[in-house]
Amino acid sequence: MSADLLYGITGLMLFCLGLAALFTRAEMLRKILALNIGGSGIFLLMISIAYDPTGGEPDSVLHALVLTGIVITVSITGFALALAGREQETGDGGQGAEEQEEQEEPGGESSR
Amino acid sequence: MPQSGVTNQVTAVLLNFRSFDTLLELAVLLLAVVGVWSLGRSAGAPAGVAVNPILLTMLRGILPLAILIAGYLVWLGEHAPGGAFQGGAVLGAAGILLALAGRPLPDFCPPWLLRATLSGGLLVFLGLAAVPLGLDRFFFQYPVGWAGAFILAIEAAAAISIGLALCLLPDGGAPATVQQQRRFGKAAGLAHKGSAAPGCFPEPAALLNGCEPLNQQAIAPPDEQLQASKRRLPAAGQQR
Repeated sequence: MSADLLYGITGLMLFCLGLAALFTRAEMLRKILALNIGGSGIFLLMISIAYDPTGGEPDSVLHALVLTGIVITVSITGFALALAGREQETGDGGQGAEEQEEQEEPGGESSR
Repeated sequence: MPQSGVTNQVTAVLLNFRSFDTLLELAVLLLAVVGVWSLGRSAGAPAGVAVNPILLTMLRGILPLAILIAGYLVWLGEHAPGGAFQGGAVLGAAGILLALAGRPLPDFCPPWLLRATLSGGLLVFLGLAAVPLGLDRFFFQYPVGWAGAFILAIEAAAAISIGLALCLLPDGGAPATVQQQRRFGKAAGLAHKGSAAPGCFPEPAALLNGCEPLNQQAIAPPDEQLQASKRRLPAAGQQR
């Protein structure tokens, strides 16, 4: 098994793990963590796709996209954590669904 | 590729061929900070950490080094993996260390300076991207021969903004106002600014209690803690 294939499969598995946890776990913190793990899986997959097995230069567009994705993920994670912390303080459980939709966006963007 | 002004492919893609991507990325990071700040400061959040002299002394060595490394990474982005985001991450880590040592940036930076620095990266990027418009070229179409200088200027400004945004994001709310800091200082009986007693660690209880008056007696003085740990040590030895 070649190295890039191994990285790609690992990335896919991480994405599936994150996706499963995102849907099955109720706690907001776990959801945010799951989103980060799933996103990292996508980044790993994209980096392994960018790799050129013939030894040439890797695809720099994908590298740039991953770099963008990481920054977006950090931004959204920071904002989501602040929101989740505030939600826990006020004890308002009715906003969970809205928050989750908001968090879906970066994953979709980075997987494009 | 040679027209991009830089020899590193990823930097060329990020700051020349696909500049809009990076521009909006900076905007998203800024929006995240604005969003967090718009939540205000929660009533339960502590307004600060006690000054930690040990960490501060260590930071005297680390901070200049971190700034040097950040500058090097930005410069490195021209021909090797590196650039504004990597440099910004180092700056952000330095800022978080400062906050952990009890000297968060909002404490000694005036608010207008914080805001100007936060938005500076985006504004410099927009301004330099608009310069070609005056030269009868398209947005982002840098003048031939100047692309490298433009990219380096954008990256330097962006790195500082990114670093500041990254170290303000984990705070989880708007920076505490001066009034809140004073209230916290009085309530907790902690010397928040300036003279901290030697060996005054940020007490976890002060963080957990938030704005509630801190019960000073609940925390054992350093001497008692030392004796307690000494008492525990021989016991651990006997078990072995």
